[in-house]
Amino acid sequence: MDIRQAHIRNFSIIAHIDHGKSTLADRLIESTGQLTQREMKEQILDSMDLERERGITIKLQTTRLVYKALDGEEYILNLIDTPGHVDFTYEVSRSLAACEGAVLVVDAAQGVEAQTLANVYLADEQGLEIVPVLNKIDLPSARPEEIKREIEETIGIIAEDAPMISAKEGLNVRDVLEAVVKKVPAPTGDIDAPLKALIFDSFYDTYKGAIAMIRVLDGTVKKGDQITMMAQNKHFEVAEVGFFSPTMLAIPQLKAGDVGYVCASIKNVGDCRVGDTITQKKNPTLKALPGYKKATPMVFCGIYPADGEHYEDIRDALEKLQLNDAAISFEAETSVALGFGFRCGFLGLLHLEIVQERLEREYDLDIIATSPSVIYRVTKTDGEVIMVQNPTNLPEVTRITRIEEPVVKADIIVPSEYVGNIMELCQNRRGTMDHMHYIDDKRVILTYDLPLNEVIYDFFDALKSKTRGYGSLDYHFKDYQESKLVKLDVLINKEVIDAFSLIVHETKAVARGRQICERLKDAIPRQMFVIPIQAAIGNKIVAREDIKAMRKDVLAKCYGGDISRKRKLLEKQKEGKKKMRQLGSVDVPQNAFLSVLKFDEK
Amino acid sequence: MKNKGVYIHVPFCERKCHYCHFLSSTHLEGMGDYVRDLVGEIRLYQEDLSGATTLYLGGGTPSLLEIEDLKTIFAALGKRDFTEITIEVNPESLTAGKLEGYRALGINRISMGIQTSHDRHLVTMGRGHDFTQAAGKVALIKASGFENFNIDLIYGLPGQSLKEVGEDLAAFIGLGAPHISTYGLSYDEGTDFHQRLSAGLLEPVTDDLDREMFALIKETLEAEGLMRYEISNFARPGYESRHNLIYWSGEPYVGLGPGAHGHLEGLRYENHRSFSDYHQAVVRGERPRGSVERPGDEEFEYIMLNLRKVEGFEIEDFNRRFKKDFLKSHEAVLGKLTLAGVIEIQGGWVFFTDYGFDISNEALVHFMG
Repeated sequence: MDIRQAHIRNFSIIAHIDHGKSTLADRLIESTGQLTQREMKEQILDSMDLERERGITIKLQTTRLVYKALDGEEYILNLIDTPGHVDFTYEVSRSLAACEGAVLVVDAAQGVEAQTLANVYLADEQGLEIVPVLNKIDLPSARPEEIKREIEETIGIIAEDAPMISAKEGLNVRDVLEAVVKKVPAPTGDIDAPLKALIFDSFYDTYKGAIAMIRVLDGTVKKGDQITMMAQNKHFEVAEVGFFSPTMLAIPQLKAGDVGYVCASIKNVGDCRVGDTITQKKNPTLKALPGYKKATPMVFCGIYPADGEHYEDIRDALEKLQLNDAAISFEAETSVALGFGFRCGFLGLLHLEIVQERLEREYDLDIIATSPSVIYRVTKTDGEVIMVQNPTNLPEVTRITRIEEPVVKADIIVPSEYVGNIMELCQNRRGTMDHMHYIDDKRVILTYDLPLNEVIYDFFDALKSKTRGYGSLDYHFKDYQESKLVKLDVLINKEVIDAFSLIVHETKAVARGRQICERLKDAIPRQMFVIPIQAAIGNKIVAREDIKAMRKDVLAKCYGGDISRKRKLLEKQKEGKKKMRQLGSVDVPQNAFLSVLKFDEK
Repeated sequence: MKNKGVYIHVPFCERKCHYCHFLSSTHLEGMGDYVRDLVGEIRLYQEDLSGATTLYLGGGTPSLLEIEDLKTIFAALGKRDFTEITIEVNPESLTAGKLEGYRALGINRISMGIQTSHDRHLVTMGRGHDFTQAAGKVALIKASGFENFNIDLIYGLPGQSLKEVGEDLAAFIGLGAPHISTYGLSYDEGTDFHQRLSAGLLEPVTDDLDREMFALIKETLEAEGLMRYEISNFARPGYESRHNLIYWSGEPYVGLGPGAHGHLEGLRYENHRSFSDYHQAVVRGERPRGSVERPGDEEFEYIMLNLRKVEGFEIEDFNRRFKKDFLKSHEAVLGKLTLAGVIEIQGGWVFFTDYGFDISNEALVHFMG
């Protein structure tokens, strides 16, 4: 092993959500002394402002730290950020593929949670060295010794000498850096072999084009090199290489073991695919890296512009998002009610919510999202098997032999006093218990088979609400199972509104139909005529609510000829109306679409 | 055009009513300066005043003006062929002497705010009179030979019942006015009522009750021969307010006094609301306008104003004015609104139904471009 590589450590931080991953990352950057706390804030904020002006966002994803260890040697630590959520196991695994080790942060008060386990499994699959760290030891409720035992028992890694820190207070953060240096193996690439580099992330810059975040496994890459994207078989000339520290810093070249970025004037975002292998055009490596399994979207919904005019803007935004979030899929679709839009696929409901939020916040788009759906496997009477992810495309009942739905295996960790609540919840959601296991006398892990379509609506909200926020969840796809499913249509003013249609289990259809009618009744304002809201299965109406006609909307005084006041009032009212969507002859506000998806205690 | 109005705003009151958002000051010591400035402003409008057919003194409380002040103002206006001259009065300040003075000046119509026959509501509203006093002043108006007069009724008061509105109607009809204006109470920003509503101290009537009240008002007054001719006005035939009809027909009017609105040569303006801005402009010899605008959408304004009238407007008149076919250019909207029972088209006229008036804001928004 060469001396240069012996002084490199490539690692990620993994944790259950809210266990302090980002705070620790910030502390590590600070404590390696490159930036003071104030500078860091300013610098990161500046860079984000700049990105915002250019219309893109770069998260602080990968940072090079220089650390002088207790052994007197200077090490380069490449910290590769990972997304923190259950839906993003795919993204976590792709970050992990660029590392040799992972710092596992566990909350010293809360202990091991569902995503702690899920992340450990992923790190294990990649053969990474796992470095456990106990965070939040400053909390009065911290019980580090118990949690260490818990880590050893449930995860099976030794936690005896795990650093005990408070990232928030900056306590013992240096112990983490020492542990990384000591425990995480150095990279072992061959600097003289042909270039072989993994694209583990990418993003778009208006001036530089698509930028690839890479881990160099073998060889070197520098400005002027002719490189090949192996999966695409496309060639580019390298314009710049460098690393983040935490802003972009150009250097002469990247070598085996390094983590950094490559710009090569790549105009088309699709040419810079995450998971692809980069090599030299002239002296290529023989075999590409295995890359990633393509992430399979599990949850789908329609995304439409709120005002119908911004269809192209949504396409642009989705394309850009797709670049650093390859798990998003989308294709154009048309809804009778909403016009032109996109059917988008996501890894899970939270992924869906995050993408919606990014479209609204980062791209300033007003969107309407339809009810989420999963993919159903439908066998038709003529023997053809089709995959249906838009309820509108479900064939007529008489032409269906059977419908199968995706079932997930879900791990739910809850304090023992809430076990009853969760069993009740899972039963209501058509779950089947696989097993139940006490982590200690206070906490239980429940494993259930749950139909995915029961999970995607509001399961997570319900879980949180029924465990006072203490429950945690992780799930992964298990298989397809036959089920008695029906299509539920919603009619507003006697017209089927396809955007509200959904596929539900027949035992749930009536209750769900009733609930949707009630919510739409509250969400849609009174109009000039009575509006019936109905839910129907086939031709059978199963629920109905009426929105009464508007009773009063008049301001009848007009003393002294103040006409402008009245006109301005009406103009304001008109603006409010414009924000609504016309479905048939009914004005429906955007929040009506959201309101049918929200969790309700009842 | 055959009609032209003059509106003079008299922005002074002895006290501010709790629901009122109109420009008015309680510093009555400023009235002398006001009259001087108003006269100055009138001089700047001599040409526009020619051909004026109606004059309306509104407020505020115009009956706070002394007859001498009115004489000064009328002298400045010069000799005009007004067919209708209205003055707004309140029960407290109206005297037999003033009424006599009004007659001598040619004022031929009185408009008095009474609002309700229930003294407890009058107190809540911050009015300075009780019903008995108001009824006495109506008798005085009639005794002074004014047979053309209006009284204002406000309904939908906090805590008001339908029965009380019925009692108000009986009491108001008993006063024998040939014109009654009815206003649904609104809680306008900046008023004491608005503040108390926000603080949860007042309970507004529900929309349903509000409409029941109005339905009762319409039924009762029309049974007495007081016909609804505009969204909130009732009159015996021949007693409709000519001045107000000018507003609703889109005809021109000169607005004078602080905060007054005018409509001249296609422009709508509002005078300075600040007394000192108003004063300084007049002293400089400038028309004291705070804002002037040309209505962007004249078609819409025509529809909005004319539909206030029960008769609506004649389609031919619209077509002539805007050189287009109203029925064709508004086909979709008309289809929707007639289907919903909001407007009717009959004998070449377009007009609101009773339900249309109830929800006229929502209906009008449909006509906006």
